[in-house]
Amino acid sequence: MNRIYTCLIIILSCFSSALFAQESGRLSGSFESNNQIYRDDSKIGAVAPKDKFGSNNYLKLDYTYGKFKAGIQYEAYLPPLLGYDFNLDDEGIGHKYVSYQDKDLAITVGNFYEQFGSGLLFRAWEDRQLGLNNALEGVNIKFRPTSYISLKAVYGKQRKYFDTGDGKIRGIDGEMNVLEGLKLEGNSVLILGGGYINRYQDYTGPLEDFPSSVNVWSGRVDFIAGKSALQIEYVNKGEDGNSSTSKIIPKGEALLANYSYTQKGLGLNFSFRRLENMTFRSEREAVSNELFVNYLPANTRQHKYSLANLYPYSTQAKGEIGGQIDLVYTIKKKTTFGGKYGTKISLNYSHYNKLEGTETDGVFYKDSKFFGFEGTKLYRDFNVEIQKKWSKRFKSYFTFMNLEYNKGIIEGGNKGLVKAKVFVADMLYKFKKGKALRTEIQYLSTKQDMKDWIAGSLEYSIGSRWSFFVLDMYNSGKTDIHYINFGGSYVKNATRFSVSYGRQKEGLLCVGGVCRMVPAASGLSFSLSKSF
Amino acid sequence: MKKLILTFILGCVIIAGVQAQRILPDVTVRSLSGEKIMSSTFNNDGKPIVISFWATWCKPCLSELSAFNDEYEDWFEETGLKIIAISIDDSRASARVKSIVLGNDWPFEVYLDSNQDLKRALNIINVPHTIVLNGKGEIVWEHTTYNPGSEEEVIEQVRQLIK
Repeated sequence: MNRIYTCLIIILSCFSSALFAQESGRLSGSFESNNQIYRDDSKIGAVAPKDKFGSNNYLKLDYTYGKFKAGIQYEAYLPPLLGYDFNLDDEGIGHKYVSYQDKDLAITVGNFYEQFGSGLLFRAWEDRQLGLNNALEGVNIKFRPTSYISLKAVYGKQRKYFDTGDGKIRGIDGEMNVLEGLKLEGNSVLILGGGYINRYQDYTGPLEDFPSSVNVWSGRVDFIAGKSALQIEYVNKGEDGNSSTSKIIPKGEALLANYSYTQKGLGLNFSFRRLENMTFRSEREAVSNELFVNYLPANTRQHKYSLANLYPYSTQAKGEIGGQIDLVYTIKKKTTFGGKYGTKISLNYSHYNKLEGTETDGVFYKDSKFFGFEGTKLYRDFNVEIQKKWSKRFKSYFTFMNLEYNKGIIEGGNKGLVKAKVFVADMLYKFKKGKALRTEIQYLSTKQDMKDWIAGSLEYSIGSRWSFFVLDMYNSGKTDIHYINFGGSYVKNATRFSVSYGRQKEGLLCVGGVCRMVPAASGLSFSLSKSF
Repeated sequence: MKKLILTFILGCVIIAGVQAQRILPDVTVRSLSGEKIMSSTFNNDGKPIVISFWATWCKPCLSELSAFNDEYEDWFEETGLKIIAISIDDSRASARVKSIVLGNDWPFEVYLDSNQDLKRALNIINVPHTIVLNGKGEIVWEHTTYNPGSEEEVIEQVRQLIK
């Protein structure tokens, strides 16, 4: 432990002195530390851990020398904050790499992040809030033989906490900008792409024909002509196994299609997605958010307000079908509804159903047509936001949301369908000398689950550096519990320090549609982050 | 606790030790029409560039871009700056980025960094994160988070560059 620190400090001092001596090498990095001192709070069911403390720390360093780059990420969970997996309770260098890059070729050896297409086939990424890091450890090659063709290859094992998973991943992906290749000048763009991933994990069980090797491929098209754009991506997944069942999991498919129409002041977007047996991990034994090979975010709108996020949809990778429509429109300045500054409206509607089929021993078998929409309703969300600037100092946002959330299926258990309406008023007033006050009032109304909620917040900022807040989420319908939080932050350039005290409700925390359960917690939090 | 203190000390050593002129790294991002572009080729003919990292779900990011949008005409006339907005949205929302940009009629150059490669290469922790580049493409100033009114500080940095 101490040796690592000594080494780090020596390396750093060398780098720092080298920096002043010559200009050719460059060190950059970031540091993030999130800490909480917990207390027992029986009213919300919060139990403090034994030493009443949690701390997640990340130190990332990159050194660039000409076309070469090397870096590490040191992580210390001392112990991890509540809600993060206990397997993270350790410290060490979880990510290290060396890479070479010139104009047409990039080679990385060690840990790396990568994505094919939209990630529906393959995505290795990190999200610290989710405690998720499935970076590959191996080799990554990117090659551009001409300006309009790009190729990628990956090989390695995925990171699992401070170790790697058992399965090996190998994959290739190619993309071609067709019209550029054919030297057809114009405003249209046509990009064709395709990828292939193979996962291999030894199998010693009794089943014959067990797929220890899983093959997955994809094809995609991006076409833009004038104001319209169309994107289609299709993925086909071979038979797979999972340690939670003795059965072989049948073939899977995914289809994602987006159409958009955009012009000055108007954006319209239609999206459709169908998933069937698309859970794909690099190890059959993996659970929760471990070792995902593909990326299947919820294809619904991600909301900004706390009550609107109380019932977030999470992807049903075994089988779902649905889509969303999204509209953003600016009513011009100096019209009846536009007023002096113009009014902005955004509308969004999404709907997802379960794929019709049967589940035996945890394995899903579909029994519907490809576009069959007869399954149980999982989620429906209609929301509208109106943004209006009234004067140089005053701006407001109003949001209305009407949602149906199948809590029984999405979270498990016998919880039924929740129907809720959410109203949000968000107002910003700028005072003189860079001071500003933002207030938020939210109300969620439902007859199911936890019944009604009310939330409010005040945020006062002074210049770009200081900011203070107090907020409360109050369950008026059932428990009569207040979740009060208050705190402040100080920012100078790329350094931020923040401190807060209060309660955190148990529930799903979702980032980009991937969720983890956070337990109820209460106490004092403080964070420091710095980029350099 | 001991480890924590060490971590903090280490953090401070680094913060104190590093002072070098940074430029944009060679990372591929995508334009709104899906074409690949190297971040090292961003340029504004020797005039300053402001880069804002944002996401569709990030409220302060949208406030910052909307504030830039309100001031853009005056700022451009005064300094000739270019504003580049880099969305770190992943595939969940990257299709919405184009509708938001055009629907709001933003006059920015917009790119998608959908697996956060550029964000990571610049060691950015959270969005919004704003960077000011001088005419030579060197990073001269950066700021994380957005408070209403902070845009004044950004343009002040740009003004000092063209003096």
